[in-house]
Amino acid sequence: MKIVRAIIRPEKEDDVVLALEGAGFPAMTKAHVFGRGKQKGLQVGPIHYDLLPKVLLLLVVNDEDVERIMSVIADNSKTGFIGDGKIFISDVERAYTVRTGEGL
Amino acid sequence: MKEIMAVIRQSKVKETMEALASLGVTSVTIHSLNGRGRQGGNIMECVDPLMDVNVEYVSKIYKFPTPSSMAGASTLTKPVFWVPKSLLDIVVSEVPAEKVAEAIMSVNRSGAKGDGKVFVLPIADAMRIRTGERGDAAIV
Repeated sequence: MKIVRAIIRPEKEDDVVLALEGAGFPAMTKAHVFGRGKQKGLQVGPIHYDLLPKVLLLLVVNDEDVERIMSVIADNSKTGFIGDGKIFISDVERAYTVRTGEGL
Repeated sequence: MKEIMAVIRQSKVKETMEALASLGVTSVTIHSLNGRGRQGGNIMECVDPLMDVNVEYVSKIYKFPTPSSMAGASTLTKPVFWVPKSLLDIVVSEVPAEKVAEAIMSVNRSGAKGDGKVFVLPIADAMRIRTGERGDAAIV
């Protein structure tokens, strides 16, 4: 199993969530976070925005679904400008459903 | 070293913390965030009026609607529902991760949908910033 952490634009949140639901992945967790990338934030004239609002989506999925989820998220959150976000994949050793106590 | 990520009901955080303390796990990071499960956050499908926990669950949603849960009235054809949840982040080295997961699950098990998930992840390295200790010594 893998955990997918996707940092996306807040305005693309609903698009991505509905697309993931359509692809068969309705279960996720989201957090509103602040972050910056390689450009160290955003410079608009004399004003510098250091940390920009982003949405962090957490999904735990089977190994074979990772590529599909990555393409769904990328297709729906892509604008082609800087600040589109990142997707991180890491290992999950065990996953349990609390209600039943069983592994997923 | 293992990380335990537990997504649980917000009302169960205090009980869970007490159960973890009795295991000797006192260091916990708590996030308040929103989640949705296999029902897509649609709590109306899984409401059992005989269960108290679900009544509280439903009223909580209506009291604190998230922006996206109100999107049904706007341009979106389909509303996106979210349920308020708490994420506990625990890194353990001496206490076995399975024991911690069992303790969290036994406290949070109400039998209704929305009890949450527990994930166990490997941790590559850790550092205690104050002393610069690395690895297991940083966690204990």
